[in-house]
Amino acid sequence: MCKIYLTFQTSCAIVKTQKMEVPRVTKKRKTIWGLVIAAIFVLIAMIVVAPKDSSVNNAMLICAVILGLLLVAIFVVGMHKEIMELSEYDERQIAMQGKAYKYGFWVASIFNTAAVFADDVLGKYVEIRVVLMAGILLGFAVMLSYAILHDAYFRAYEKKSWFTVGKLITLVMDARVAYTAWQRGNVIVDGVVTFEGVADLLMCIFLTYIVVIVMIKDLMGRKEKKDEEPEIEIRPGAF
Amino acid sequence: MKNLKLKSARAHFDMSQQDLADAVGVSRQTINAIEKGDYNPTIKLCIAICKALHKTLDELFWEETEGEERND
Repeated sequence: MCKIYLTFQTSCAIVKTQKMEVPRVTKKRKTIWGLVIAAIFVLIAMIVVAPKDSSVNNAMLICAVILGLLLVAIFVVGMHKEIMELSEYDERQIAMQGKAYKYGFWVASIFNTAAVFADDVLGKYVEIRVVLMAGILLGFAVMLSYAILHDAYFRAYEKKSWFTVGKLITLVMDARVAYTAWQRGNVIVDGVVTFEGVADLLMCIFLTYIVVIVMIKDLMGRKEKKDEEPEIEIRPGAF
Repeated sequence: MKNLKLKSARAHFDMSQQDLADAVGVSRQTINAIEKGDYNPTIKLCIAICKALHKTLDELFWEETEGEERND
């Protein structure tokens, strides 16, 4: 009984000392984000308020570009360590992501190449931009599906609920725009499906698909966890 | 091929897959994939797992073939 107790204590100690720490938002990170957001507002203000005179306008535009590049440099240099900490996927996840990117790339490339060659036929019914966007979204869908279904998309401490909520918010916004486009009659013009009419609809379909995949994976993961991990019962008085 | 030695070594310490994953710095699904035989870990991860479970590489990851079993 003592051996079991000591082994249990040792294993708990090992787990505690080597437990993965969740990175927390540091003051430095908050400061950098604050600077970035403030600078974005300044940039927007410069572009909006810039006088119509072309020479002053060009000078302000150049200043805005330089400011933007400086911001990116500050962000990358200042946040590099934080970014590296946050982007720590384990080796299996990185390997799966590599495969996901490969499959997504090939699907998008083949689809879009075929679309370009078939433009003579398809162009009578659908704008080429719609088909190309569908191809890109299809590639993304393949990549994300593979990564999500092989547990290679989310980091260990990431909350899927936040991801799902974010996607749902974007979905609602896109649905609103798609509905407006449909109401205006922009979807089909002169018998051809237009890009302006269906771009948001395509995004809605894509986002819905991703949310559904995440939910399916979540359900599969819970069942898998339950099947693989029988509950460890600690009998009272065992130690 | 399933890695039952790893599973039994983990059970010996009453560690769940999540506990072992946290100990070696990987996700629970990676430990699950290794135990199921769906993923071959790198030597670095193998060593980390061995250290966490106080076992040697042979004890956890060596695949015995029929010939080796007869010689033993």
